[in-house]
Amino acid sequence: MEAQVLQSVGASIPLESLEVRDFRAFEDLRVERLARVNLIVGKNGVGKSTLLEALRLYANRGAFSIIQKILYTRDEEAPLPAFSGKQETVNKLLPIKYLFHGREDIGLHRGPLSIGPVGRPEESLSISGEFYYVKGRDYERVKDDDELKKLRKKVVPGLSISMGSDFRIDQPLDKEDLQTGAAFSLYPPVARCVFVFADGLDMDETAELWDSIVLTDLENDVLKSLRIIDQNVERVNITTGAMRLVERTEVARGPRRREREPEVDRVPIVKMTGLSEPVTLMSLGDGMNHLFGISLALVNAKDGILLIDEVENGIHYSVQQQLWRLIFDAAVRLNVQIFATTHSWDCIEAFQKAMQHGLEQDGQMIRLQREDGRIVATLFDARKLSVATREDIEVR
Amino acid sequence: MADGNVLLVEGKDDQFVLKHLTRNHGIPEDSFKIKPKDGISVLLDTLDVELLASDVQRLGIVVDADLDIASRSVLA
Repeated sequence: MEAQVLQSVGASIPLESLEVRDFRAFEDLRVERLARVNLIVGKNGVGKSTLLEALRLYANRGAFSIIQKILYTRDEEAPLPAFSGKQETVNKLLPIKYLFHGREDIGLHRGPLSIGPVGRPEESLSISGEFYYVKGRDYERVKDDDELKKLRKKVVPGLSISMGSDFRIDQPLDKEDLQTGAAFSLYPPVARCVFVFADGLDMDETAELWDSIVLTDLENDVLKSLRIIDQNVERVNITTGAMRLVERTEVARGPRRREREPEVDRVPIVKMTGLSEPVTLMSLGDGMNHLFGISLALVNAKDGILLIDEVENGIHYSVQQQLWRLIFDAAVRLNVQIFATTHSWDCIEAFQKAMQHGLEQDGQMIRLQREDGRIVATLFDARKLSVATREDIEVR
Repeated sequence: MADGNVLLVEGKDDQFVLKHLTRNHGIPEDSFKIKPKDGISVLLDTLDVELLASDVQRLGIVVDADLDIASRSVLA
């Protein structure tokens, strides 16, 4: 497609700025301007993935199932403790403290952490650590230290999740029903959000995303992206294999337990020009697989937010510019706001080149770095990025 | 440490002069990197981004002062 056609249509993006307070590594991170496509760089440990987590949490309105997933992917989720009546035990086991900056034990009104547009608290997600006690058939929030002292043996820890004045959910952590996925429906998403991990999408997610676009025009977007690596890709599909029972240990839902669950193998396959039989996508290499995940996630994030961790993973530098051009094109056309992290200089160069000729307003690079013990963001617009790549200035 | 010290100069000639000047004064060659620019205007236009380099500790600039000084300022 010609560059001129790709001019931004001026549709508004879900987030025009971002402020994250008291969340994990971020004490108070402010990103004054967000673009449609944002490339996040920075040294190890400055919170690139944490920034993606914050956005994921915000887009999902703090859904407890997402909190669990976030803790789970960082190996921080211990089985939630059964209520023992001893606060010390509860605190020690409670993984939710890792959500907050400083990682101190959960106390009364811990936090709140907040995530949202800069200077707009009423549109920001707010999560605080609380204690609850049973009153009648409901849970009541402990108001102050006196009450906590009095009710000491009857309280359970939990999170209070709110946004603006008309959304608030209290999640005491011994309530059984919130440990299943059912609680998810209580949180209407702020924006549709799809997350691509550094090692791609898992099989279930791939199949689910594929099923939602199969036989639509969006299929062509996915095909086009695979052809960046190999022109011979003709068609792609996902097979449905035999059903089998799989034994799995379930940690995400609280107490460890073993279950046998039916599972169906679904494998992406590709028809290549010149080959009579389809081949598995996996056999075409990591890059192809990652690209499949990215493009599938991209078309599924229509009118929402797409998060990609380590976008360049497995993708040769020679095709990265084409990849970015495709990402920009789809982002503008499908109205998706994108946040991607990278370590690679090739990736930054390819990103910068893809932005030239009409898309300068649609992309920017965000560098996270530590300054006086705090993590801060520095923004690089199209001009600054072009200077950095031309003059070989290290900006990662 | 030396990696973080950068001296920006207007061009290759200045780079050459400064290299010899520092050598004659016994300053170790790896004390700082001398980075030539493609003229004064490029130097001034790219200065803000040079300051954002993630590895820069100290940034020095050498420019000719035998011409109109006012026109050689970032503020000009």
